[in-house]
Amino acid sequence: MANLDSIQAYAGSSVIVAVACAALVHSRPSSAPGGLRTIAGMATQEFYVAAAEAEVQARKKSEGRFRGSPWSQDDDFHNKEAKFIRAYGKSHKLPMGSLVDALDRGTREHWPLPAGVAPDLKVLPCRPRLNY
Amino acid sequence: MPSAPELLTRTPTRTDRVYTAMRHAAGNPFIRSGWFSLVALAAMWSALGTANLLNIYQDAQHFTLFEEAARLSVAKFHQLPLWDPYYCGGIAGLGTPSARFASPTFLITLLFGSLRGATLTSFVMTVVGLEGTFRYVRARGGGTLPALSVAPVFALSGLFAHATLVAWTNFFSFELVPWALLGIRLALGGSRRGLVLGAGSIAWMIGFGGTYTAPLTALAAAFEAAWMLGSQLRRGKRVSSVSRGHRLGLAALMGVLLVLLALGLSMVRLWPVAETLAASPRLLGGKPGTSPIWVWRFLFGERSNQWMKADFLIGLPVLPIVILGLWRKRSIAPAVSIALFVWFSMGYDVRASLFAVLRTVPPYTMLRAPERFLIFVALGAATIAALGIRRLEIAGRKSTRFLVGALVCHGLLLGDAVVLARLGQIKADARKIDPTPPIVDRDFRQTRGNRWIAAYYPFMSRGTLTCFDDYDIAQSPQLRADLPQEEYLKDMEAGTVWRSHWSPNQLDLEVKLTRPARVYINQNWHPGWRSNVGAVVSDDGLLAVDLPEGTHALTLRFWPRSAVGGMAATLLALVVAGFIVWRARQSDEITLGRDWLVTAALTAAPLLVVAISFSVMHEPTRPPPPLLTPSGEPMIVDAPPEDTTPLAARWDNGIVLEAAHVDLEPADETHGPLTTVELDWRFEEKVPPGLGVFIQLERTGAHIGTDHVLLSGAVVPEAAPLHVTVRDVSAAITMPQEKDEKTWKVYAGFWRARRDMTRMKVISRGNATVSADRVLVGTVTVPPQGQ
Repeated sequence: MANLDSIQAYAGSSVIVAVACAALVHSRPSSAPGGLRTIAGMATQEFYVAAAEAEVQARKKSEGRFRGSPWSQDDDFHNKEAKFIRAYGKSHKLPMGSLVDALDRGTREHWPLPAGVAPDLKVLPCRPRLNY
Repeated sequence: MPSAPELLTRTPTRTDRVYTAMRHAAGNPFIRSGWFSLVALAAMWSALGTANLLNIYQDAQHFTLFEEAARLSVAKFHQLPLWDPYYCGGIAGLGTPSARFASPTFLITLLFGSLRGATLTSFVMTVVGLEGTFRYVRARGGGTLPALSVAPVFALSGLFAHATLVAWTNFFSFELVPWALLGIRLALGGSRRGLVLGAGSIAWMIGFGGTYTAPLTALAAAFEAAWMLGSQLRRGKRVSSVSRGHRLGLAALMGVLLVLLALGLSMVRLWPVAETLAASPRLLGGKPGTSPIWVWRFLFGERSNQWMKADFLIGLPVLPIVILGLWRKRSIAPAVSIALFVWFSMGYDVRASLFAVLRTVPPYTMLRAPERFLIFVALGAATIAALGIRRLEIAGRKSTRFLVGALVCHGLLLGDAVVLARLGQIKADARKIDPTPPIVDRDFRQTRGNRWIAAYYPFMSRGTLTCFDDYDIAQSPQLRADLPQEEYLKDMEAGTVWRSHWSPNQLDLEVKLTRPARVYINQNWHPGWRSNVGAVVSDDGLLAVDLPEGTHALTLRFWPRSAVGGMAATLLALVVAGFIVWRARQSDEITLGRDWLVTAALTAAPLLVVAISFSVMHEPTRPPPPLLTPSGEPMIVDAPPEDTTPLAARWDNGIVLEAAHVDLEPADETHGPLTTVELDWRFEEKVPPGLGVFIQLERTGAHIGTDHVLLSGAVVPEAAPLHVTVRDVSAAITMPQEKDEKTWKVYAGFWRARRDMTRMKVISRGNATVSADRVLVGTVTVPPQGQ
């Protein structure tokens, strides 16, 4: 019986090690995490203008969706903005990270925008709805 | 335990030998762990294959951000994860209820990163849950091999597959439920090891962001303890060597030790989280419920990759075995627990709602989603199924037919495990994923950000100011997304500010001032911020320091009392737990008298640390929200303003609407016409908790509804001062603009917003027009489009 126990212990330990290795190997990244992919300045600026123009319409739609909750309007707009960024990245084959960065740089560095188009930089404190 | 052939009342057959070998293997911890690892790997295989990618689901964003922020604090800045500057303009890391880094699994994150670490953590927790279920079920008399077979019924149940789909890694804390209940069972019997196991499991849940796990498990633990005490009472009639009173007393006193030790071990999270929620409790409305058909679908419905499909699946194959197990006396307790938790899970969908009662008791006032109680049904079902098979095993001593029946049950459970593992793969495959966010190592800056892609920001050295959590976050309206530098003077001519070092918990600034001035930091104020010079102040919620004239090397450090005191208490509790385990090697049983008193003193010691921290570390209290209207006018006045219309309508509980006013701000380029409704309340007695105000705007064929719980966004009705006029000014309501001018009637009333959602009764209309327990407070005429 003692011999059987040690065989079982050996077999069980081997399985545990094999499974742990399989989990680690299977979950390994296909490539090392990288930095921002360099993309042409013009492409990011075009994106920044497109995002700022889309913001005006998106905010109006969000106002209609949550008429009595300014934070919810803002939050709904940001949902639309996230979808816009993803869709833009997909259609223009641009990485999400670079587009997220472009929005930040465009705001901070005051990249040029068409007349009457300006992103709303006001941040409303988080006030979640009673029910969602 | 004697092997089966020794107990047989007949000649052993080949089936007996096979069964005995299987049972022996199940009892071997290495074989069992190997098997459980394989089962977990099968369930998590798809998720592991994409572990380094980012789930785009909204909750994944902030959960990933919390973990990554903590990882950066430790791995990059070599600090404790006390302050998270990457979210909402800065929040207390340990005070974030759903953050999961105060857990042993944080080591996995440190080793493999926050994304890959999340899936590996889920995998490890699944193995932990399988072993925990095995041990719990066996402790309830389920037998070794049956306990092994039923373990996936709980540990692979639909909740965990669903948690993978929506990246609720913290929901894997439910895998600790059987460990906690096993610990409580043992502890109440006087076991030192049980004491540490029960308290440690509960503390782990709390540290792992178990905002639902811990309070729900507390109910299950209360049930387990109550049943055990009841059993002690019944056993007392039969056992004479130890008195019934003695055993009952021991169980009750062990319960006290368990609560003390659990409090101590979890203090590092409990205190900061309690501080957060005390400042801004989670205000939830709605009448969530689960109809019987949905209970069935959740537990036994078809596998699906969709939300609300098989979210608590335990699988149909287990059902006949559960029915078989119901015939055992030992199944009464788990069967009653199943009935109880199904009742809870039905929420408001049942007339006599147990959940509704629970929702009146803190902290359960802050919970929704009653269907989450169904996870305890999975554990109850696993237990009963094991008891059923165990019955067949015992009967198998007389006839091989029963043993064959047991083998059939094991086969069914193996099939069930395959069903559940496949569900894990299906849900994981259904996730929508983004590539790994890029890592950009640069100076930290706040940006407007976006909570729907929030996970990107800490990787890119940015903080997202727009954010979300389930409660009102203490977030300054003065936070800015486009500052040239994050630390600044508003009075530019007063001098200069230069950042010499930045890290989450500590900022070093070079400040030169020609006159006294206030230095602003583009982050939220928290009472835990301290400076080496000047006075830390909250400027409309923004972190700021008042400094005298001169040159200063200003150091701001985040060192909050709740986190420091909580950590000290938890560290001491860990030492105490270690000592108790060491003592258990000599004798596991705690005896009443001196032994219990010494252990009680030890387990209470961490709470003493809390008291000492409270008295030694001084920090300002967070001021309550100012009682101001959204436009900054005083909320509390002697009488309604002159431009309001007197109404004098009266509700139950001494609520009076003295007057009201409806205002319209014309549209401009950035927004449509905005209506603001002022309601001037007077409370003649303390109103019951859970009330809210609803406002409805109506015209023929159109309706706009809005509601709020905080009067003027500042105070709940039950906390409003009595016998004065309380000005309740609504947030701006965006009005639709149509081709023609439209006039809207504006109604308002009180309802039980955080209870059963019924309206409060208007008992006197005063000067107002009343319909359906709402008062007409005015009209608003919206001009046509273009005006």
